[in-house]
Amino acid sequence: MLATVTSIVMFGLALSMALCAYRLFRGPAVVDRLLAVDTISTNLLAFLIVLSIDQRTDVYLDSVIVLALLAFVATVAIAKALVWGRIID
Amino acid sequence: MRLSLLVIPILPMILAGLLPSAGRLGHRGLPLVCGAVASVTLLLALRVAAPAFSGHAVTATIPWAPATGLNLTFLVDGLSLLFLLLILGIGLLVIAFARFYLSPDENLPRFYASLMLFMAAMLGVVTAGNLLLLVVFWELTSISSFLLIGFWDRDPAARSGAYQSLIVTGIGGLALLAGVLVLGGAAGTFDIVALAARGAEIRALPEMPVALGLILVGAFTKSAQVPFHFWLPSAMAAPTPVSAYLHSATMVKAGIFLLARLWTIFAATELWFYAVTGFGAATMLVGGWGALRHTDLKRLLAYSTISQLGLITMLYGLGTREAALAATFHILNHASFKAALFMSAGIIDHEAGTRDFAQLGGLRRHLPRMTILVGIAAASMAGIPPLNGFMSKELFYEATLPAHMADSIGASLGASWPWLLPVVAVLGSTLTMAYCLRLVIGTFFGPEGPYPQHPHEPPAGMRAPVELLATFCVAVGFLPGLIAEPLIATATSAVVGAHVHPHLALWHGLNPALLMTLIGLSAGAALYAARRGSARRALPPRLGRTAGELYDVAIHGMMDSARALTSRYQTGRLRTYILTILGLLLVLAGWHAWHASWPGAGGAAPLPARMPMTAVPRGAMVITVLTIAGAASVCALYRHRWPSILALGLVGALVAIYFAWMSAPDLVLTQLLVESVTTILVVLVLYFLPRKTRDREPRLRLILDGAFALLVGVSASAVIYAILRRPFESISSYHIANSLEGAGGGNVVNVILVDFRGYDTLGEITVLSIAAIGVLALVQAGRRTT
Amino acid sequence: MAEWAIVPVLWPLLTAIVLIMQGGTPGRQRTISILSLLGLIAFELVLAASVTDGSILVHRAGNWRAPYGIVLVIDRLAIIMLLLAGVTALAILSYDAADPDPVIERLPFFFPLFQFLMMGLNGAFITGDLFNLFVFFEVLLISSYGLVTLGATARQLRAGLQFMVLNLVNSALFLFGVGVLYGLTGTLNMADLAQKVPLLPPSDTALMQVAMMTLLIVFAGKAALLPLAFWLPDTYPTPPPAISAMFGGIATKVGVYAILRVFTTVFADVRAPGAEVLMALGIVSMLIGVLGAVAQTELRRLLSFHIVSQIGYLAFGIGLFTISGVAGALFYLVHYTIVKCALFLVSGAAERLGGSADLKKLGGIAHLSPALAALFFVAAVSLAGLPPTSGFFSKFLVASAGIEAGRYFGVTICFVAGILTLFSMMKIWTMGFWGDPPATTAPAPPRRGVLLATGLLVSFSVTLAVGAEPLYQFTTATAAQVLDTAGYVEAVFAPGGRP
Repeated sequence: MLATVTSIVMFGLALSMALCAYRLFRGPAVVDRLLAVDTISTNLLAFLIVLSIDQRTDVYLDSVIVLALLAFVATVAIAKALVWGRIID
Repeated sequence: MRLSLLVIPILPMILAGLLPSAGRLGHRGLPLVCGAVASVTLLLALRVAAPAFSGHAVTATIPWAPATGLNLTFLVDGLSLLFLLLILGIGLLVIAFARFYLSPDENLPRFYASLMLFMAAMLGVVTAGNLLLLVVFWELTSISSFLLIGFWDRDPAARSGAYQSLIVTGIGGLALLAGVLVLGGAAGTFDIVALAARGAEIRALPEMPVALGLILVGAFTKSAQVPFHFWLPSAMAAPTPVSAYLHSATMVKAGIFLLARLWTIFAATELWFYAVTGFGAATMLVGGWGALRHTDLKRLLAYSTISQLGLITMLYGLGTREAALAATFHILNHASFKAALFMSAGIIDHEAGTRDFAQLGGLRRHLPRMTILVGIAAASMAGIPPLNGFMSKELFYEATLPAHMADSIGASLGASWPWLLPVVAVLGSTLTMAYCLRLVIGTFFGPEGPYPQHPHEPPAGMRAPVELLATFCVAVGFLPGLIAEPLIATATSAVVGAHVHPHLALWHGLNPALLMTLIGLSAGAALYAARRGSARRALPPRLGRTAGELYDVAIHGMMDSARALTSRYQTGRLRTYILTILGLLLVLAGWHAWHASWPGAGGAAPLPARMPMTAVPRGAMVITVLTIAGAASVCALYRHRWPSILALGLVGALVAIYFAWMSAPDLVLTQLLVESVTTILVVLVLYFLPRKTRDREPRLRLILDGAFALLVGVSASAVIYAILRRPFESISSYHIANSLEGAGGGNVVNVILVDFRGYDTLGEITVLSIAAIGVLALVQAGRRTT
Repeated sequence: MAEWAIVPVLWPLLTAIVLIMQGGTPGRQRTISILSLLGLIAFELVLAASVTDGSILVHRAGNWRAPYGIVLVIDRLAIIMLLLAGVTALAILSYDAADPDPVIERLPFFFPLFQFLMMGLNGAFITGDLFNLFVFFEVLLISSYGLVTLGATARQLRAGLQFMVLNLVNSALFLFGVGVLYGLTGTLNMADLAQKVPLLPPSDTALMQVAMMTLLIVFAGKAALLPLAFWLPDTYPTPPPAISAMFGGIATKVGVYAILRVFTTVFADVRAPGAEVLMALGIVSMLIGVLGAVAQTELRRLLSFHIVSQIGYLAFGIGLFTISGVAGALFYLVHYTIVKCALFLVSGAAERLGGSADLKKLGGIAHLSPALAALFFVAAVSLAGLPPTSGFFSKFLVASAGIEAGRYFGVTICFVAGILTLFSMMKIWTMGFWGDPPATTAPAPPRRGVLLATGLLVSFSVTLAVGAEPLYQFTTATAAQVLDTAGYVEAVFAPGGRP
């Protein structure tokens, strides 16, 4: 039962990432792409959690925490650069 | 006692080393010291070489680098003795001449140091008993003569003349070294005495033609034989004492000496006969022709030297004892009259302020004594009796007669074209007579020229060396048996390796040689008379392109193509560089892998046992891989930076997913950390860089680059795939087994990092620290400049 | 003695750390660096004393025995390289001490980076592990990068970027090659590889060839053999002369060393195709490299092209893989390291004296400073391979080894390149040292210490010629030891270390 659920969820996440990837490639604005990457990293986060559930292990949770902390920083840095043209105040 | 052979070249060399810091001695002291050392060396040489007079060679060996075959082996026989006397005797006269010739303001320590170095090198060449040692000294003569010719280095002509002579003789030196290596390698020794003893065996070696050909290139470049003769006239930019020394008795005679040294080994081969005789004869004629063409006194002498060297070379080429005798005798005679002539040219230049025939003429009223001296020396060169030059010329004529070549290698030539060599000989003499007349008449007779300064007789000290040499020319002519015969006899005996008893005399009776002399002299006089009207202008037509021009063309062509070639591959574009590196790797690895796996090429027929691949959900795999590829190509294709960076982030994320599939949580962690930090760093870097989009590239290039990149990627993947599908065992089982027990750590990866291969980690930590320092240094430097 | 074999790596590392921590004036840093180098050389001489008899010192890092841990191996070859690096570095620092370069004076991290460079060099010379070689290549690369860009002029940064990118490509290929080898044999220790490579089944030959060619390309790139030497002529002339001298003298030799070491251990049994490629690269480098030099008029750029050409001679000699070939190449290596370093230093002094690096603008150095000119002349003659210098012996030994092996084409190119070397060196002489001095300079002759430091190097070159026999005997013994793979393997696997 659980295996089926995780499989479906993973497929859904993969599809979501693929759609985001499409947006990333097409754009048209840089902000679209930025958003796409941010969504992909969120999906990736979810994906890793689901994988942990599927494999009944907690080894991926370290990665999840790191991703949750850092992906956001990268997005903010790029966004700041795009909007204000500076990163460090 | 024998070890004092070593002292002969070493003594002047030590002095050469000391002189640069002996400027205090002044323009009088320096030549005095040099003269004293040369005299001591001369006495020593005479003392050591005494047995050589009676035909016994003196040898001594000191190990230098025996493992390489190069030893300090010295050999002094009659031939060496002749050259020792010439080098030191003429050397003393040149030092005396230079004492008066060079102004005290010149950089005299440098001059005398180079001169003594050159003298030492020459002494080494003629006393070397080991071919490699000979090459060592030979190259040393090239280097020191370069310094001497370029002594007046502020004059561009001196620079280019020195450069040219070094390059030409340097080429010859390397050819000689190559020839000696081939010869020594094939014969198993570099020792001259040992080689000479095995002449017949060496002549039969298959490597002989190569070795001899290379050695001859060496000898010909040094002795200014056609087609390498052009460096000698260019070297006339040297101070006259240098020309007098280098081009009468020493530098150019080194090549002749080498021919004489190897005569016993090679003279009985056809290659020797045709090459040495042929090039010698050609040189004699080309040199004689050139001496008629030039209007500069020293250049005329330079070409006459070329011509005379050709004569001597030709004689050694003939391969008969009579010819060798004539050659050896002429070495002595040429040294004496040519040194006198060069010094006279220096005196004339010094006194009249010019060496140009257009400005000379009629000097006999101002320089009566010089007129006589130059007349004697020139007459000797032309071969007019009763001077020494006449006697060697007679011997030369005789040696070219077919009757004298009956038993030698040249017999067939003598039989089929009996007139060829005698005609060439007479032709050479004709030219010689003509340029000698031009030299004497053009300088001293006829109307007075517009001299740049008023000429008067030189100081007695400057003239004394010339007087001595002229006296020698006359004395040998009248008393050959007393003065020259013993020396020439031992020298020739040493050359041919058998006892020779020459009878040198002025009168040999009415014979063909005398007839040839008469023809040559009168034809020469006629030639001169015919051209007399234009005696002051440049004379006979030039013989096509001269070798010197060809040299220039070759050098310029070489430099141009070097420039073109270099700018072609050193483009400064990373694209070409990376393309070359990867392309070369693909070709080499592909080629050798193909050959190794091709059956029959020592390769392998059986395919390796296949390992099963790890099972993963296919569908998700395909999506992941395709997205990675897509994102990567987006990176490559986008011209704008931000989308590229974002796409790169996607690649990183998907690789992390892939690692997760493969159950490698620590890799996922590392990948994500590296990925995020890299993205932030790249954003930071881009932020500081000027805003610029990539240039639009031609479509074809993009396609080609893409295809190439794909090829490299596919090849690398194929190799990795092949690796992964073969059975694998590694040392890591030991690591797993010993991790907890031996190193006290549960996580084997950690233990490998900090213990098993902790030394690697030390290195990597250092790399990171250095990078940090480097960044800090750059940032600080950047702050300072802004 | 073996347990001390790690000192040549740790010593510069500790010195660098001390230098970073205590900061201080450039003068003080320099004093510490020179003292440290003197100590290191003294220690290496002690090490040398215990390997000259042919014994091999093996240090097991962490006391893990081969092939499970990393071993450090000091044999005759390693000690030659260590001492060369030490002596070169010492000469360069003394040169800099005598006449401090203003650029170096301003920069805080020159001396630590210099020590890190030494660490990278020494580490590469003594490691017995292929992956560890990679690590020390990285140490070398990153410290070189730091040194190349010190001063941060636009030209330096441009050259530095290319240097970095090309070397990173190289590193990636190195890793790839090592990966393939590990995939085939499951080990990284060179002695262990030497045992396992010959045992590979015929089906693995193709992959093994791929690994060999990859590593050959990597090392050839490090050694700056054409056509892989793009980075060198643009990079080496840009930093201050002392740094160029260090690079020109010793840094490229790491690649040569790596080829020699890896092809006499890992690929000893299968090296024939690699040797052919190596010789071909050598021949191309000799000729094309020197033509590159002929085309230049900028002093140190010209010398940089000569490096490429000279490395060609080394590659040719080593590629023969005979005792006389390797011995000749090693002799060449010693000679050339010393002479090249001297030439870079002299050129640096000449550039300062003449006020330009461009030969067309230089002139008359021989009148401004006869002593400097004399040093240059001897070094130039030596580089061109004329007697009575070490260069003559070097060329002669390599050429006669080539003749012995019947490689006449290569030998011919040796000689042709030799004459072109003479041609271009004497071009420097006639254009830069002869003629009228440039009117604009305010000549301040080089200081005594500058002449002393370079004079020592130059006299070393002459000494190598006069005393050629001992060095040649030593390089012959070294060549015999290096070509004796079994001896190396035996020494590495000698009992010892943790079970």
